[in-house]
Amino acid sequence: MTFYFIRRFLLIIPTFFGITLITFLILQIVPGGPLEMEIMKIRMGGQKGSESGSNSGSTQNIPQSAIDELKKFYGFDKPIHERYIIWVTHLLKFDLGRSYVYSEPVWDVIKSRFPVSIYFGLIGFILTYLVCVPLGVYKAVKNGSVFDFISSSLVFIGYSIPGFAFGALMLVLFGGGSFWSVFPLGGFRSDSWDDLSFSSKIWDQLRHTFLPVLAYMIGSFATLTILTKNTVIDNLGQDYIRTAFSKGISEKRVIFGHALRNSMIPIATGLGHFISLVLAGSFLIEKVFNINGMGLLGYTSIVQRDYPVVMGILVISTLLLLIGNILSDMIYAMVDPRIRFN
Amino acid sequence: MAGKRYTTKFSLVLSTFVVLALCSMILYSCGNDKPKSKTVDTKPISIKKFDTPPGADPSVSAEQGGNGFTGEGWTTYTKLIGYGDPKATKGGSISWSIPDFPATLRPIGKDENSYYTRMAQNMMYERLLQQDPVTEDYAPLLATHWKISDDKMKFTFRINPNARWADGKPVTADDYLATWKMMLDPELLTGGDEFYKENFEMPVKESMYIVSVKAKKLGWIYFDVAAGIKVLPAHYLQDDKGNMMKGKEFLEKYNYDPIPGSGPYYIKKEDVEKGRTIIMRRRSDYWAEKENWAVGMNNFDVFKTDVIQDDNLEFEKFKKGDIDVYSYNRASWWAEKSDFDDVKRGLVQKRKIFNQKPEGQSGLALNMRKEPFNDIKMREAVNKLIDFDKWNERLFFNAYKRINSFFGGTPYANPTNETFKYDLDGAIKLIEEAGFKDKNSEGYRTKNGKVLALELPFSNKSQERYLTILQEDFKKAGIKLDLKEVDGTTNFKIGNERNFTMIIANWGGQNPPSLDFNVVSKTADDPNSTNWPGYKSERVDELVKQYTVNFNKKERIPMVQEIDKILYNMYPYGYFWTAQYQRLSWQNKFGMPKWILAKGDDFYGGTDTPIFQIWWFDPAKAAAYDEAKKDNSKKIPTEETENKFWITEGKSDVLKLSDFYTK
Repeated sequence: MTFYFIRRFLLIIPTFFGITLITFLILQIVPGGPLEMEIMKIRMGGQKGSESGSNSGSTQNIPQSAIDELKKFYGFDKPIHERYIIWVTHLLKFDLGRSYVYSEPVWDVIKSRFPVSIYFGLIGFILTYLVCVPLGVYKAVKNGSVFDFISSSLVFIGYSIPGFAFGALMLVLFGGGSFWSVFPLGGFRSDSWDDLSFSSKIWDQLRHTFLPVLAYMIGSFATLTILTKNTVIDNLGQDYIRTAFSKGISEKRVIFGHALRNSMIPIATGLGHFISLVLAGSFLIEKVFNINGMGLLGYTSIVQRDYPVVMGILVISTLLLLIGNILSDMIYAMVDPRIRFN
Repeated sequence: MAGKRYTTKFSLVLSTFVVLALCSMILYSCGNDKPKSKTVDTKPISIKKFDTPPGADPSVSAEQGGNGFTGEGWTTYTKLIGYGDPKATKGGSISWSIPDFPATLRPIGKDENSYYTRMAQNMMYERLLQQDPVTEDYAPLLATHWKISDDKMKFTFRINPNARWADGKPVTADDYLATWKMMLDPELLTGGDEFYKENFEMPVKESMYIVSVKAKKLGWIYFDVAAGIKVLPAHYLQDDKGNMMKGKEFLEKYNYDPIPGSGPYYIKKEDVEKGRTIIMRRRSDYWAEKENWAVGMNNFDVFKTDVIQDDNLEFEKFKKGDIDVYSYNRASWWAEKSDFDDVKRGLVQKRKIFNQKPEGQSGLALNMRKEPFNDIKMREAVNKLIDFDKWNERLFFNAYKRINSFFGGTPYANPTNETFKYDLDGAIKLIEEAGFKDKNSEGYRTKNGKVLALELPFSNKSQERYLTILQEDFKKAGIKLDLKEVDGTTNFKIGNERNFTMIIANWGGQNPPSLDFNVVSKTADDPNSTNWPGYKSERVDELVKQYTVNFNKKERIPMVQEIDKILYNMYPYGYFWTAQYQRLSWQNKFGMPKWILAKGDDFYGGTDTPIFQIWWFDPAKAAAYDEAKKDNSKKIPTEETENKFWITEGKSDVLKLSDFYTK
């Protein structure tokens, strides 16, 4: 099995380069790249969007020499394959390049967003497990009851509502702009954070956390709850459970000591993707709550044609995903003695 | 046993995660990382490092612009009163929000042309001369006096010996020269260097306070350019060895680390939180504080800009009072959402403010270089098929008017231009005259067996609502219109490369217009001009030639009006709509002059002064506001919603703003 995992780790290399090469090519080929965006900015400047206003215009044309300089700046004066080789060479030296938009190293841009993403990702991840696993078990035990029906209805209603729409609704209802002022209107913390006492800081952070976490989690409740419920029900129908009952073991002990333990195997395998939490985040939820996380960064980088940042995020996400997959398999093999990879 | 072992392992993994989560919460709550935000300290700041005594350097003679300079033989203008109100008080703060973080705060170089950066430039850096907002006469700013040579090609400026940089060093001719030299560096990536090289000789330092600039060609715009450059401190444009910095180094060094300017505001590096907030602070030691143009201006100690990407969140935050100023960019929101409780109680004021911001051009750019729009009849037909009244009534709450000029909102617009109305029969007649007489089985018109089918790229989802109406109206006339959604940059690329039949274009206006770059025939073939439709006219070229060398504004106006008539009647666009006002709301704790906005721009400025330099924090109003916030039964008086100062009192060429104070 050790050999199997070594092989899996080695396979990361070609997979990684395959993914980055394809993405790099697509980014370079699609129309309207950073060069066009820059020309547009020089010409039009841009202003706050208005349905009645027009964009501001520059008073001068853009000479060809300026376009050539811009091409040089973005590296478009070289053929695509050369650009990819340059990018890879820098990558091998752990250099992700410089952001076109922020004019600073890509790594600095990305790492400034990690804390927010890890924070929301981790809390969402833990809370989902803490709520959904017990709920799924209880639903399995009470299968077909009124509680099961009502909780399933709620869980599926939640599943059908997009997290960002739910978040926007919550902000309107509880943000204090239109109705009740219960929670702050988005953001990660209050502006007065530095002046708050320790306990007030925790309270402030919790108040800023509640609604976004709820929006992050609302869709994932259904999957994990129903997965838990179904695996517990499956296990409750197994021979060893019947045997346990026939031996006179209490229901509580049979469910929690035997059925639940085996039901955890498929759920535990998802833990391998815990590593991907640094990239957790949905740009829509982050946009709605005005949170500067990875989701929003990824989205705005694409919109603003900040290709170095797009590639930087791709590098990190690809590596984390590939490693997360292997970790999942490792956890699977660890928790289920029947599993042996060869 | 085995079962227990695996349960223990699972519990271990789970508890590790729980512990990690709790640790993460506590860590972030403890604020061990670098503080991201803080309560804004609203005291004005000083970053002065050098305490240069007031007045000129004693070594500079009066003839060289030093002490005792009389100004004889020079021009100046002493009557200028700025946009400020003498009643204004200093202090307090104001906040607003923008949807995207600016790509730089540098005054020059790559990305300098964003609306936020342009506004910040005007608040932090100063030019040699400014213009009277009412009469448009040139007036002192960094320069007290100026001279124009007899051949009108050499401009000489005398810099005010009292002018100081934020760090306390005097502003001198060297600063102007260094700024100019930096702008000639192609590494700034704006293309501006070509313009300066082509049109000017290198400025000459005549003394510490006198600098001259020579244009290579005759034209009234060159004085405007030379006087309008935002001057930067030479000592910040040098590298570690004291040499002039290269453009590339300049771009990187000052991207978000602003250079101290001579203007009334300053951005400290630590007040820039990338992607989230920028705070500008008033300088307590602004050199021109007591000049007449600065009276009542630059009142807020702190001007805060938050980045909020979501429209709904921005509006909710405004309603809650988290941001102070809100501009309604949609007619529907103004009509349906702007009268919430706090507006009715007077806590929030709303105004529709009319001013003289140039309207620009917006509409369907019709490619005149190829079929079918190489035929003027087809272009006229498109204009007759745009049922703007229907759009206006059904979608825009009758908030807008249809464009009927290339220079709308300015004196350069030709008042005799007719405005198009929807006319299906008229359009069909024109389409038939253009040769599309036959119809195919689907009802679409054909010419030589070719169907009259057009493709229209559009880049904004909100455009779909009126474009589908347009599609239906085109269909009634037998034109097949395919709508194709593309993103904004792609849309621009298609337009810029002239690779379209029709495309939506929006261009800002200018006052005065710089016609050399937009309307002369050669721009039709220049891929980087705004002449996307490709209009050409010998008469326009001739008028532009006269316009650029005519130094009398009154004589220039009829020339442009004639150009307007010629261009408008070529129908290069399917003309859309415009609005000559701003729909603005604010928390009722600010004082402001009766004109509310500057004459020639949006509330946030860019070419003209933003409200953040004109308004002030009114403690009495703020107290009433706070009281009413606590007590729902209280009301604050409101004023009339429409403000027409700039198109009634402010329109006159004779009146000065100073006259309005006493009215």
